[in-house]
Formats: sequence, C-alpha cells, structure tokens
Amino acid sequence: MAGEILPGPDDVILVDDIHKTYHLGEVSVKALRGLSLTVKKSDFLIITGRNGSGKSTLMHQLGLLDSPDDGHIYLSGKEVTGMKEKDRSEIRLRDLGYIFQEFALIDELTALENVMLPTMMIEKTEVCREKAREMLAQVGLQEQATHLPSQLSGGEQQKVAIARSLMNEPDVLFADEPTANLDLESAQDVLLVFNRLNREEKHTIVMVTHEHEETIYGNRIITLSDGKIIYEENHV
Amino acid sequence: MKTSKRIPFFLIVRHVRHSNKGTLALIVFLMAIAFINLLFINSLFSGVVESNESQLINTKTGNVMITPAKGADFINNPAAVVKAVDKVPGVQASAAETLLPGSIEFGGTRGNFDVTAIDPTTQEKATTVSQKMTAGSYLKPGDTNGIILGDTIAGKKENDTDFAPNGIKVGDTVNVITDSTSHPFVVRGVFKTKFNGTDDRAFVTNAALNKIAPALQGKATDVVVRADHRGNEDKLVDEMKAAGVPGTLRTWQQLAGSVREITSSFVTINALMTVVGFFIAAVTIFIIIYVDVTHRRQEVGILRAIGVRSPLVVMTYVLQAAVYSFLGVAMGTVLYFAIIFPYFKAFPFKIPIGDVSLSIIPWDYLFRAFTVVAVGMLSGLIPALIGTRRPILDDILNR
Repeated sequence: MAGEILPGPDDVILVDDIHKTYHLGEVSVKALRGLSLTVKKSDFLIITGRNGSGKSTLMHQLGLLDSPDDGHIYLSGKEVTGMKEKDRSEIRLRDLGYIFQEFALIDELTALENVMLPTMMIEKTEVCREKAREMLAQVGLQEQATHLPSQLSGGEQQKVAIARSLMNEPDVLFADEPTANLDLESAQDVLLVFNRLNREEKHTIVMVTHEHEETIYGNRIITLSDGKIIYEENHV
Repeated sequence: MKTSKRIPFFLIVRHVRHSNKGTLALIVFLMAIAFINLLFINSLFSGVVESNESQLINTKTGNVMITPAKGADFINNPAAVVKAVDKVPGVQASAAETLLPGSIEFGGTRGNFDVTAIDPTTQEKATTVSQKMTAGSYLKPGDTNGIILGDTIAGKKENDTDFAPNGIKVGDTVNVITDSTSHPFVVRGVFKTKFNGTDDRAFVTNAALNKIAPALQGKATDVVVRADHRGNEDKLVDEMKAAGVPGTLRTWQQLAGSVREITSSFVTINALMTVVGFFIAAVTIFIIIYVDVTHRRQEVGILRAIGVRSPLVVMTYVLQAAVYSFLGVAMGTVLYFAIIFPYFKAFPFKIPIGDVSLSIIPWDYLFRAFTVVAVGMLSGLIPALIGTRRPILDDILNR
C-alpha cells in the first residue's frame, strides 16, 4: 500500500489516481488518466470541461454507477473500489444522491411516489410519504405531488429528482449536467435549489456542467481535459 | 413484511394503475387467449372421450352390467335381480335384457343383427335409447309384434349395400329370423345414438320374446345398472355383491373393449396436442412478457441507481409478470366459461361418433392455469436477470 493516499476526517470524497478506458470495438478510449481529487464536507464542486473531457465518466465512477479500471475512490471514509455490487447498492441508497441530466423518474409513479421510493427500502410507508411531502415542499412542488412526470415541466421533473436524491440524507449529491435539458428559467430555479442546499443546509454537492455561468455557484471549480484535471480554482 | 420487500408490490400496483390501459388490456387479452387455447384443445379431446364413454354407459352397458354367473347361460328370475339391485344405494335404475341371436330380413336382404328383448318401462330409466328416436316411437309394454331398429340397421347409408339399401321406414315389416323360423315385426321406430355398438341393435318387448321364444321366458342375458353418478362403479359393484346380487358384475370400463381403444387413442392425441399447445402458449407468453419487461429497461436502471437491490428489482418484474398472467387466466376463465363452454354445450360439434361438447377436468384447468402463471413468471425473470446484470448506465441510457 506504499504511496496510497488515505482520506482525512473532512474528506467526503477522495479520488486517488483513477483510470478508465472504454473499448469500442477495436478502438480504446482513455476517458480518465490518473485523476485524483478531494472533496471536503459542504463543498460545492463544479466539474467542467469540453465534450469528451471525462466529466460524466468521473461522475459515474463517483456515483458508483461504474467502476474505474485502476485507482481508488473513498466515499465518507470507505473505499468503494472493488466493493461487491450489494454493498455498492447500499451506499447508493444511503450515502449518495444522484441527479441525472434526463431526470430518470419512473413514468408510472407520481412525483410524491418517485420521491418516496428510495426511502421505502428503509422506512415505513407513512414515514416515507411524510418525508417525501417535506422534500417536495423544499423544492417548491408540494402542489404537484400527485402529478405524473408526464404532467410536469422539465424543471419540475428535475426538482422532483433533486427531492428524491435528498430523501435518505446523503453525504454527497451528484448532479450530472442537471440543467442541460432545461430552459433558462427552469435551469436558474434548479441551480438556486442547489445553491440553497449547499449554503443553508451544508449539503456537499458535486455538479457537472457545460455552462460557464453556472460555475459561480460552486466554491471549487475543476476543469477536465483528456481525462485529467487541467485547471482548479477555489472561490471564497 | 420487511420494509424493502414492499417495493415490488408498491411498484406493481402503480404499474397497473398508471400504465397505458390499452397496452395492459392487450397484454392481459393475449395471455387470456394463450390460456383459452390450452384449455380448448384439452376440453375438446376430453369431450370426445367423455362423449364416447357416456354413450357406452347411457345406451349400452350402464355403469355396471350383470351377466350370468360363470358356467351359466342366463340370469334366472331377472325381475327379482332388478328389484334387489334397485335397493342398493347409489343405483339409479336397472333393466334386464335378453339377447336373442338371429338375423333381420327386409326386402330380400338379410343381416346378422341380434335382437334384444326388454321391458320398455325399466329400460327407459336405465338407458337413453328412448330419447334418441329419430322416427316413430319407442316400444310400449305388451307390444307383441313391434320392433325398434338402430340407425345402422334401418338407415340408408351411402355406399352401404350390405343391408337395407333403400332404408327401412316406420310401419314397414321386417322378419326376425331365429332358429330358422321367421317372425314378422312391424317397425315402430328408429333410433340413432351415434354409438356404433348400440345403433346396430334392435329391440322388442319381453311380451314379444315370450311369443317367439317361450323357452327364454323369465331368463335374461344381462342386467344394465345405472348409477346415480359416474366414478363410483367399483364401490357399487362391491355393494351389490354384499347385497347378494347374483351373477358376474363388471364395470363399464371392463366392458369398454373397442371404446377403450378409441378413447385411449384420443387420450394419446390429446397428450401430444397438449405438449404442442403448452409450447405455443409458453412461447407466446414469453414474448409478451419479455417485450414488456425489456421495454422497462430504463426503469430497471433507475431503480438500481437509487439503491434498490437487484434481487428486489428482479422480484418486481417477476411478480408483475405473475400479476399479468393471473389477470390473463382470470379473463380467459371468464371468456371460456361464460361464452365458449356454454356455446359448445348448446351447439356441440357433430362428429361421426357422436355430438361432442367441451369437457374440462378441474385438475386439468388448475394445471393449465398454474402453467400460464409459471411461464409468465419465468418470462419476467429472464429479462429482469439480464437487466440487473448489465451495467447500470447501459440500462438508464438505453444503450
């Protein structure tokens, strides 16, 4: 284990020298090339970069939706690389909240039911329902609780996804281009929700974005290129 | 219920409640059709077997037939035997018959057909021949020169030149020839049971028998015993023996002979058709459920991404398939028993061996219902297992 970096007490995420290569037929694409980073508690880390720079690949590794070929990832002090799927599933349920660009809501569940879903693995239905109402209220959608996703706007769907990600009080929220499919006004609404969650409730957030103007919400910004961090900036 | 186990039920209820009603109805309808197909083939062949066996019982042997004891040619004092048999619990009716070997001659053509002497009153209760008259009327007690003929003897048959090429009509006179003596009889009626073993029979009354063969008076060659329901023949035989009923007692199954061969052939065909039917139903159900679950691939990915464990995701789609299959069985049952079954009861298939309606044994129904649900669950299991073994991102992004 010589040379391996271990997470400090305030490190919610520690990424140590991870590599990821995709094989598309005979072509190999190196998406991450020895990337390392640390995310502290209550950080709002913005990951930016051009298409193909490795932003989403990095998010997928951090969100335990994929596994790196090499390197180590620690989440809340636990090493998650090499974990069994059952344990990764448990971490996704309890320690992480993931917000997809495409909202990823279940079409046949109402907004309230979509939000309830992760907590149903842990709590009784009535507790889940009550908590889900609170979460929807936090994102301003209490009136739309009984609406199906098809009856909601893109911005509202993304807020439902945010409410769902908050249900199990995760250590960190991952948002993969959450505004990419939204109009300007909805995007602004969603970003304000993230901003409030970070500033007022001290949620740790990692967000990928294409839009330079969205980087103002983060306290740290990293820019990726060719699977490596090429620029890092801290905002006060 | 453990908290996490509620997820599949929670999702299934929402799937059914909020999914496209047209698609859901189509899935359930297709499952119902697959189930009806399984039921129908089996019911049809069971109906053929049932029809053949019923005709044997109803028109010839009864449920139990008493023949003379070993070494004896006749049952003596048949009236006393009938009286004793009728007292046995489970017996609906019984009737003595006396077979008179001989032949029947009409219009210069002669055929070897046995004539059976009966008491029309008891015979009417013990067999259904009296209900199968196609012309004329049934025999009346005391009729000393009347005869009723089976359709094989009386009817006009295409390409049948062996006997009665022009047919025998009610009111015609036929000659019954026994011991080289010819006895004229007036045809009172013609019956058609569609059972070959009965339609080649002719009946006269015991009064007529006394006239043409007085030596056989008070003697019978068999007693037909009808039970109040099928299936307890062996018990009935035991009870008749215990009641001291004389003679050799045999159930209809023991007397079935060629009927047994025909029915066993149909049972074999039924088994083969059932295997084919199961295969077709299995493939149909598999395709329906597989397509539905595969269509939900993104949902599988979302559930896994938010931390729902794979076994619960699989359980969700297996149970959902079970619900669809169960609804299909329920719809199929309603369609089958409310429409198809009564229709063929009212308008049976008319085939040479008889009128055949559908017949289903409860166990066969349950087995087929269970099979549809089991195949449905398997069809949900396979794509769900495949889905939970794929990378989560491939499911979510449908790639």
